[in-house]
Amino acid sequence: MKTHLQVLSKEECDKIHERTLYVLSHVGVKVDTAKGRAFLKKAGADVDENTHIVKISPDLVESSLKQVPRDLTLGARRSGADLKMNNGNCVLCMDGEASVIIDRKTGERRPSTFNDWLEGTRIGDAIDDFGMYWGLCEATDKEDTVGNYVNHLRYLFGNFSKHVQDPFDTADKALWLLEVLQVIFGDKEAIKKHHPFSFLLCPQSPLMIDEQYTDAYLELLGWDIPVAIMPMMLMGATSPGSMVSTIVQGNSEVMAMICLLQAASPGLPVLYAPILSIMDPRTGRLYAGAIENSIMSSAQVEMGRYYGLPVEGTAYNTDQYEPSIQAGYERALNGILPTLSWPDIMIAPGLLGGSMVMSLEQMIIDIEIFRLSKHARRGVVTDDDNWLEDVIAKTGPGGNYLMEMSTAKAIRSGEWYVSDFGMHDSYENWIAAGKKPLMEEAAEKVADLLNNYEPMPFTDDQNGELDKIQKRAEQNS
Amino acid sequence: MSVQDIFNAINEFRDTEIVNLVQAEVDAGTDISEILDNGLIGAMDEVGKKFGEGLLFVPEMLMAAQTMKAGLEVIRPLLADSDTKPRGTVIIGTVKGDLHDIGKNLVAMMLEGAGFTIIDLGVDVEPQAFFDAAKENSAELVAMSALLTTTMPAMEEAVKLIKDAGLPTKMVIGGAPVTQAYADKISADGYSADAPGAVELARSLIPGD
Repeated sequence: MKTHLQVLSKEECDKIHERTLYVLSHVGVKVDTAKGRAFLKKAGADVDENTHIVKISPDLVESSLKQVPRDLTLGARRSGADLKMNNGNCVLCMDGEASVIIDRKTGERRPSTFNDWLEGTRIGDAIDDFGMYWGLCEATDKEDTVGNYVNHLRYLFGNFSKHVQDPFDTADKALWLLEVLQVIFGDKEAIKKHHPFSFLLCPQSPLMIDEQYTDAYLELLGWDIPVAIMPMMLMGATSPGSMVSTIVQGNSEVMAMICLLQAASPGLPVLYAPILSIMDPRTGRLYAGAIENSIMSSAQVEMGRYYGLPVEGTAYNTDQYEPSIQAGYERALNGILPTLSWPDIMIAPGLLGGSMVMSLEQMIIDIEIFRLSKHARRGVVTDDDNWLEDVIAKTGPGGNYLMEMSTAKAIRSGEWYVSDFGMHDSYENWIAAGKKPLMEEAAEKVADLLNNYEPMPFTDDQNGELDKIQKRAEQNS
Repeated sequence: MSVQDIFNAINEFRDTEIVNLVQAEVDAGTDISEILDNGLIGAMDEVGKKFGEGLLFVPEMLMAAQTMKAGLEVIRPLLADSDTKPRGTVIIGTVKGDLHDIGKNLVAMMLEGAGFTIIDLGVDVEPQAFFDAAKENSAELVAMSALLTTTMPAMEEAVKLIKDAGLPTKMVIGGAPVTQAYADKISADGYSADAPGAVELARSLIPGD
């Protein structure tokens, strides 16, 4: 059977759901978007326009949940790269929005730039383990204008041909996004059908839905753009001091947003994606490397599955600011538990220091952790072909299995994971090969991918249309 | 009853008892500065010391600060008549466009616990509002927080407003994407990566008597 991890029982999931209904109906959520409050009020929620507190009845939560489609495929430009949710697969998504990078050529720690973002995006496209995009870092050298936003979209879709999840912060960008999407993916009906782009909404903990990002998303209503709902809380600071209550609060924030979105657009696809983290009690900062984060990440995957929703999980966090032994063990432990829980999408390789520092070399290491974790999930394979007592009898005491066809087949069957990364040779060969450090090997892989990978080009017609949009956007900047 | 009891109550976070303990000392005629220096602030200095040694965690530090604050309210009306004065006035808030206030709140509570007077402008604060509050209150320090890289430029605007006007107020910044290099770039007087560091920074920029 497959390796099985479970951190919540069915009864505990039931109880978390019940407590969630209590929180939403008795405490409520502060909804700062007037449009959002209007949608919720129309759906039957109890809205206080003075305090912006919205109390949501259990019936409204249950009916909203029923409206969320369980059958969802996130589309992509590249043929064969569509992601069918709730289908037994798990793909990686890059971590998001670092503001600092460890320069891969100089080792210098410096603010991240457009070129860093572009390199991360291209590598994400090149590596098959990644199924979805999130911007690895901020382009701190670019001003926030609609001209630069359209430029960002061009380079994004021109260098990443799998599914894209990419929020924006102001409503005025929505129309530009829709124009670009139509050039690349076809008309409104095609976009509604294939879902090539999804958004990210992050309720603010505790129990708040903001105006700016939510209203930016609401400009896309009618296009059936899926939303990953990702509140990010800090246990002990912006959520209660226990894991189960942090899970309840995170679940409440997701459910509140589901109610708002279903009230706005019944049947809108959503992904269950809360990031439940713990505070470092010594400083009040994010305790990124703590094992509690991975336990809660597993719990959130289980809660998403409890509802039958598509799930984005989170892993690979560390407090360390550079690839190191500490980063290695923290990321391995924080990677394996949520991977065993098996979300549809797993965020997030590539960032260090509480997801503020980007390292392309670390991304390569994280992918190896993901592959190992996936393999750990395979568990002990007990297909008929794997019961080899006849081979044991044939070989007998004192023999060996090296020349057995069953051995040769097994190695290539998928049950064995034969890594092509890191040091796995004899001491003598390791010395003879120059004792190459892991970081050097990772840096070489990065350089190789950047030098040799060709992203999927736009057609000439698409480039021409995108030129026109960009020109207009720049005139509006 | 004694000032030592006040000191102990703060160290043990007994916020329901502190008001009676302080009131009893006031009623007994104990000097206000004695209650303040050796009871309330003295206790917080001890708490700060334990925190610095890793013996206390942030929530415990904050509960001590909350206990101290409750005791301080008892004697606040009497302070104007005494020779005592707070360590300094700090204007604090998250910058324009930024609604993430947990770090700011932590810093505010810990600074208050350390004896500073806090004027909390809340979230999404315009640069001009920082300037106006600093000027109006003759503040020794303005502390600004940002969680988003997109809101960080508002820090530079506030620093420029206050520096250009020649106010003596020191400017300090913090928040996840903020760095010492950024503080240097915008000519802020200091940066801290976390709330305990912000208290040390404030103490270094505004030395007590």
